[in-house]
Amino acid sequence: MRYYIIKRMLATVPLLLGITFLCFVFIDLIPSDPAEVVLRVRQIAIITEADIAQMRADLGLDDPFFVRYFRWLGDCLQGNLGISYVNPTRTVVGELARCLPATLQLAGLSLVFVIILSLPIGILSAVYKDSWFDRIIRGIVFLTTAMPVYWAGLLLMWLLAIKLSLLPTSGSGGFQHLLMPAFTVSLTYISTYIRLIRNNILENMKQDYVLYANARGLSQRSILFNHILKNSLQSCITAIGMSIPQLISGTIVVENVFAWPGVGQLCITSIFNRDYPIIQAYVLLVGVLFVVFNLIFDIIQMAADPRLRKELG
Amino acid sequence: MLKRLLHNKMAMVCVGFILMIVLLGLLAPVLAPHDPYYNNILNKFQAPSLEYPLGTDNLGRCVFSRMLYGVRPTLFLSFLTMAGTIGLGLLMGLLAGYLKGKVDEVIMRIIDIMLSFPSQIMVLAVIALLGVNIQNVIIANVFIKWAWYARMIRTSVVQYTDSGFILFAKSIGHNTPYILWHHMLPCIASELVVLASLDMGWAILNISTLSFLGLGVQAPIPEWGAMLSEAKNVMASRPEQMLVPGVSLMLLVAAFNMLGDCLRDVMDPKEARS
Amino acid sequence: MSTVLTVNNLTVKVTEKKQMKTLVADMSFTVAAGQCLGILGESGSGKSMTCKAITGLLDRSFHSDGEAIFSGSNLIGMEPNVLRKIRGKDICMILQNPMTSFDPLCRIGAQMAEGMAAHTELSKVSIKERCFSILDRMQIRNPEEVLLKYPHQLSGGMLQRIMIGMALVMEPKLLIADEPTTALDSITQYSVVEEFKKIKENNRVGMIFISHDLGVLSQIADDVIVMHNAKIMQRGKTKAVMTNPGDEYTKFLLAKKKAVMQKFYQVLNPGNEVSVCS
Repeated sequence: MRYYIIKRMLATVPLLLGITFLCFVFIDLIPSDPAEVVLRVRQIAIITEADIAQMRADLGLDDPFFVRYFRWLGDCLQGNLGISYVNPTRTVVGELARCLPATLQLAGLSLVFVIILSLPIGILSAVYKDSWFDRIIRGIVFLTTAMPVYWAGLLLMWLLAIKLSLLPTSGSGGFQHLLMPAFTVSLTYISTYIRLIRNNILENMKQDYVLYANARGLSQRSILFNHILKNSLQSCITAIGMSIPQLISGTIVVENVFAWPGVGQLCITSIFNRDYPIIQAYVLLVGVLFVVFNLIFDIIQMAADPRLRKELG
Repeated sequence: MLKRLLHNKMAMVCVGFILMIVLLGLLAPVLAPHDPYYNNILNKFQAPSLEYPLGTDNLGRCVFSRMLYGVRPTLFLSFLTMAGTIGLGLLMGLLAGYLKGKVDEVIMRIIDIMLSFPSQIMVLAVIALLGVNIQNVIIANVFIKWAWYARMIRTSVVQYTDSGFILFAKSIGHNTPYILWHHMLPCIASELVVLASLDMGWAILNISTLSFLGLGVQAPIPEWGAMLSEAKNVMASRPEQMLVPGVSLMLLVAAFNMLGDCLRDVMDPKEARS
Repeated sequence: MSTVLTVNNLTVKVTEKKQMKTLVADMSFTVAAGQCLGILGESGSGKSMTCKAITGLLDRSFHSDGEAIFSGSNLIGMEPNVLRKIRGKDICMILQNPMTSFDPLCRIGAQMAEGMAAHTELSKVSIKERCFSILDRMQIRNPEEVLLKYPHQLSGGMLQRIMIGMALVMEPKLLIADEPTTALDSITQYSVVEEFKKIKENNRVGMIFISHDLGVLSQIADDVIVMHNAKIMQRGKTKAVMTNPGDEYTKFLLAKKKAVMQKFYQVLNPGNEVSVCS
């Protein structure tokens, strides 16, 4: 088992290198000269060739490609992701650190919503297959997955904030401000997981061990809770685990709709402002998160299934 | 198999709906009662009437006309994106799966890296890089999504490469491109079609989301997502502006999703019974 | 010899794509205590369906008609909860695929204890003792270790014997074995059949043994029913049916089996003419 974990961790190294490489290349591909961009963005009135050359030297842009890449990588590992093009007084890490907690709050509450809502509904939908409850849920799930996330957010905003005045429309401040955005983010995932859990349980119900459990006269409830659920949820672990980085990265649109000051908003404003270091850092962060979580939940799934553990010895 | 599809009522309804929307988009210049760009502030927020079938928006433009013209960026761009994605993905997947060896290794590594990122983020990053306009939206989408198709196609190709009829074709001397085109393609076509159908929904939502954020189709070009962005500004006073584009988007994506599900059922008879 | 189960005119139909299909047509038979009834037939003949219908393991899309009298009540159409209490206690089943019939995520010991916990009021300690006695009776060594193992860590033969042990420990009146040897290799098959012979010698349990294997049935069944396409083709004492098949289908089955065995002996002993008797 330990051997497998180490092997898996080593396998992610080339992947991480590839991701960092891609992010680095990203900056290199900017059509305009980064030095010039920095100068323009700082709104220096007259930009001379000398200034540009100076800036290039300052930023170390004249060195060969791989030198720059490894220097950048070294900087990253030390926690230095550069300086914002727009506002030289702010470091990229600083900006990310400023906005990340808000996004984490949002993602966290969304995850809670997802787990609380999709599990019971998915289970009930499977157990009472083809009942009116099941059909209504499937209909709602179907429509929700077809809905644009931002539209769902807008509708919720209108209904709860404007029409019924139950919650504030936007911005941050307290728990009330968090509710609607979190629920909007969780909507798509709730639908996906209801479907996933339902299908998983239905698949498991057809298995031989359920037949034998029935043949032994065990009650439906004990079969469901002691056997079927364990088997179904086990395969859902990875899916739910991987949704954590997806939730974190998927808050972009909702943050925009609800003016929630998180990392997603930062990314959007950076795109409009052409603040490339921040965009690069965001992409890097998300890429690394994905790989790390993939690794963690892969290992968890291995550990949870005795059959897979056997294969590894 | 095509016959089974034709018999599936739901699938036919979806196809019919999609075709109708396509037709509306193509015939927009003919069907639209007004110029989608013509604005007349005095006319704003008119209720639906004979002259303005769906009313007017915040700048006095005819909503119905804008919806009709809006089909073009929303749907046709998605088609273009899908075509590019599938084309590139097909090519890479076939090469990787069929040629194996070094080519396969390299392509698979690239695919792994591309798949490590969530699609939405990458699209945003690429748009940030290339600037905000329609071509870049398509390029960004294709750049991100080809990896999914390539991987799926490669898996199928690897599965089928060792099957009897491919080996036979090789043994009687057909060259690689011929085999790929005439033999391999029909095998993977079915899975490809299901994935593509389900992905169309994603593409449509993606393009409309980008436009909503202001990173896709720019105003004043009518696009359903962009229309929702404008509707957002008057949500308090005129919430009904949000209805038409939103519901249309939902129905269109739903049609593609349902079509994909039906196709999947048709392909796999075991699933059809459950 | 008292009668344990009487089946009269059992019919099972299923609705598939808006059409009714008959899976079992008008079956009638009896099972006596201490006797083994064999049901012979190929896949799809309806043999498993018969027993699943009797024990109530079919879902809502199946319709069963007729009678299955057990301990004075008709099992067909019985209230599901009442039937569930009989199932697993008075009527025990042994199923076909031991490797997949256990929950892969649950230790064997826990699964063995489940049935006893559901049907009896025994304490945990007593249940554990019974688990040990099952393993002992089935000649499985290192019982403490085995109880802690997961199903995939045990062989098919072992799991099958554990299944038999689990059925016997409940002291049922009727034992239904649905192709218990099909998924096993021939050496294990032999030991499992021996196990069933021992159970028969016990003289208290009525047995239904379903199989498509003539050889196995000839060793264990007293009476045999031959099924084909949902109907009974022939019935009678095993020896009689095997040596003098009445109808065409049974003749066909026996002839095929004979031909295979003849070929088998020819390959093993080239040059010798061996005649195969059933």
